[in-house]
Amino acid sequence: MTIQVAARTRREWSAVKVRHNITQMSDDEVERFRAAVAGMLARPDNRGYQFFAGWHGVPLQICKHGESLFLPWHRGYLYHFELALQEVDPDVTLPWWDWMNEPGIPAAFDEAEVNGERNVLASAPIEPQVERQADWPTETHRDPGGHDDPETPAPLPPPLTSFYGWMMESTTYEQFWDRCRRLHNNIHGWIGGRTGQMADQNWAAFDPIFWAHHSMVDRLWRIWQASPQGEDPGAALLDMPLTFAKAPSLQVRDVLDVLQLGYEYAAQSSTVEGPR
Amino acid sequence: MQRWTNPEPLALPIAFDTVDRIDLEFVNVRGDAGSFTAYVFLNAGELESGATRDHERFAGSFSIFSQEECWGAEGHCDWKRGPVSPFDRRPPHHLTPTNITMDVTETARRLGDPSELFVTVHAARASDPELEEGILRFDRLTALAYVGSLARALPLAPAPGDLVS
Repeated sequence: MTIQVAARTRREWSAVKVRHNITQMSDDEVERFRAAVAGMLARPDNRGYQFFAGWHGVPLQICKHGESLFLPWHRGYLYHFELALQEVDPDVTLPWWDWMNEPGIPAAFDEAEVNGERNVLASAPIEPQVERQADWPTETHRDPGGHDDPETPAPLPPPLTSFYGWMMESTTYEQFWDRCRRLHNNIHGWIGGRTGQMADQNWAAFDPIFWAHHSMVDRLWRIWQASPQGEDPGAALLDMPLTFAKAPSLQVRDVLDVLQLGYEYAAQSSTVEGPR
Repeated sequence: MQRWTNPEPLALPIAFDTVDRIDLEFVNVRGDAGSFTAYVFLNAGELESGATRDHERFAGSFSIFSQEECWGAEGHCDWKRGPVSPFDRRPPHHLTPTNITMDVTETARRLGDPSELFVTVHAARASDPELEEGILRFDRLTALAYVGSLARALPLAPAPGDLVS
């Protein structure tokens, strides 16, 4: 993989921030992330949560799914959202939800209340920045695996571990993004279930777990990029513009290297107590 | 749940024992009728409605992430509206149909020596599992047989519904 990089000073490189698995973050880290999301929810302007959710769904709907821009567009989308989070708390980064290895929904996104208050990571208001229609949902909820009939075709629940090799063995970008997109679709369908917003493009990004879901997708792309079979998208794609509702506009080549966007993914770890 | 089976068989034009891989390709799968999940079975005959991933003829599944309703004005979700001029460099509509490719080699091998394929798809929209039509729509189904690095396209199966374009 060849990536053109901009020259950076040592000071700039030291500002690269690290995204973590939500289940491996400390209580304090989770709380700061939660507070930053709450801070964005409190902003009704173009720094606020509803503004960004509206890029993917109602009203702008400029997301990319059925084409090879799927991965670059969502990487740029997370980049913009994370910058807005960091306008609330500069030390916060987007966590990832490891649905490849962990079952269910991470507790941080699942508990209805935290410290006696509503958990904004579990459910958020839906207040699109456009005139509301009568049948629109007013807040997000989830319906993981929610089907009346277990024999009806339904998405697989996490973890999707058995698909990891199938996806990572992809030998071309076109193959990888397609396989990655399919696992991504499965998770949207599973957690949205029968009635949840995550199963609907119009409303999915209003659910705070959307960002952790796509952080995982982005992380998988990052891992594949660094693997022996990782490759850049085709030349025709590199100069394609990525449409966002807020400057800076980006081209595909601008989002190939996560370090150039100011973040990296943490290694995962496990720890046991030693003899003291 | 919607059921579909190709009415005419997909005949293998080359001997099965020389095939290294068989892919099914669903071409131009629509994404304008809500999110859904589809199970794909091979040569499953009169398949019962409750067939699951454990069925011996199960070949794979796919999920489509889409939107339930169009909230915009008339034409907002018309993915066919396309470029307005040769100078229109805007990206495709967000509901542009997509292709789904599925490697069914292992399932085909379990069948023994299939000379022809009948592909049965069960598709259910999560928000309305009872819905029996209008969920799975695509232009055509192609079976691709790979012999070493060579691929040969097999005959096309007609698509369900009325949206062949």
